[in-house]
Amino acid sequence: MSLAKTRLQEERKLWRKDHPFGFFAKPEKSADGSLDLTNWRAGIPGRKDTIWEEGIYPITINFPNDYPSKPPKVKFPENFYHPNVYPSGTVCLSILNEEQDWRPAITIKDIVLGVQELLSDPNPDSPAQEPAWKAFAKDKELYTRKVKEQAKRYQNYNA
Amino acid sequence: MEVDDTPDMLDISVPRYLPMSQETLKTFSAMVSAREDNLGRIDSILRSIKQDIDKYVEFIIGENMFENIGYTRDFMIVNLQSLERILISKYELENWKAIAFEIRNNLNQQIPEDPATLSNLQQYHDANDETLNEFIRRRVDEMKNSPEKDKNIREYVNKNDLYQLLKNMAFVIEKPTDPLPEEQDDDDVAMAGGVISLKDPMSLHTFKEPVKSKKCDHVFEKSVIEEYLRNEIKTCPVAGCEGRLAKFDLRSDDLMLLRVKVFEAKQQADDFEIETI
Repeated sequence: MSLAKTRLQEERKLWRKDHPFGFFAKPEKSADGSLDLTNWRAGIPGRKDTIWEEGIYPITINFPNDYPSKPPKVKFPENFYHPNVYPSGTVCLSILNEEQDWRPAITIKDIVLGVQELLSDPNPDSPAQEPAWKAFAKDKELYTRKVKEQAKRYQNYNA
Repeated sequence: MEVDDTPDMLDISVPRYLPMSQETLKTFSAMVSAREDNLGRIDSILRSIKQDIDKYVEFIIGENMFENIGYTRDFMIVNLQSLERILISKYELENWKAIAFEIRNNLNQQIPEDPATLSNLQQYHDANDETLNEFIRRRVDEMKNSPEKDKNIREYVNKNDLYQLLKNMAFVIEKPTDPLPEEQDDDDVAMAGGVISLKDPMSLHTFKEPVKSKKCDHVFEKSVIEEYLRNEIKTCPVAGCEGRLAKFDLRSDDLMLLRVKVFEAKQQADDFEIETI
């Protein structure tokens, strides 16, 4: 069996045994009903006492064949409102970038915690979309309103 | 008739200080060599202890001989104690050798000295130089009475690789997932909740053939890290580590293997206990 597959099986075991509070993460089902370990769905709760706190935000995690040498691709829904999320939903985060801080020892738990941190603590140096980026930089009031509206939309997202 | 310039009576007793004769020097050198042979013998004893321990560890790891962990621990402790005694003798001999070396150097610098004759005897009576015996006694006393002596011996014993390995093994047999005492403040050790991870960070499987990077001390499963590195130099797979690794930086990590084996044996023993309750 490939390293990607055995590693993902272990990731699943570890996650089921123990994972951070309020998060969920699980492999999708393939058409034939079996688990597709290379595609996961996860929910990221916004941090308490931030404008993100009311939502649980959905992401998909797609693992390449040469995972964990290469990082997985993490996506929010299209047009997700966040300065470091591309219009396609792709997350711009250094630990998910092979050229930057991705390391094979980074686990799914590390990834979802990293994404949670990015939500309420955007990186001002890597803009990925116009609307959220502009508002975050120049109009905090608009930014806060938009984020809170979005949080309400994802209030009831769960597994 | 008074004679003012009568010389004092010549003192022909043997002065305290006399130049060394070539004979004495030769005897001294022979003595030093004999002591050096002892040092060589100690080294060969140390090598054979190492071989014994390697064989024993290979045996207990290979055969899964962990039904009696207490015996294995006792084996380590007994060996640790004899190793400590041998290392202390080695320390003292090495010190002695350093003194002998110093003495030989001193003597070599002094030579040639004029042999004592009646005409220069007074000169030797007047000389207040330290004799060889006095010098040796002084240096040996300095060594023995040094307030640093116990500390120096401890340091010397502790930095011996074999002693370290044995001490660590004795520790790991008691506490397979605890960090070693000197690792407890080390950020580079893979720990979660104060416990050492027995899993390869890339495959997340329990180690079967752990290897340690000598660049950054991170431990990996041999086949997995070798597949990752191939023939390149790559950044360490552990997040945040900037170590640059190649295959030749990896050394098999017997201590980690022992941790895994002991942990599994203890778990089996626990399972057995639960079943029999």
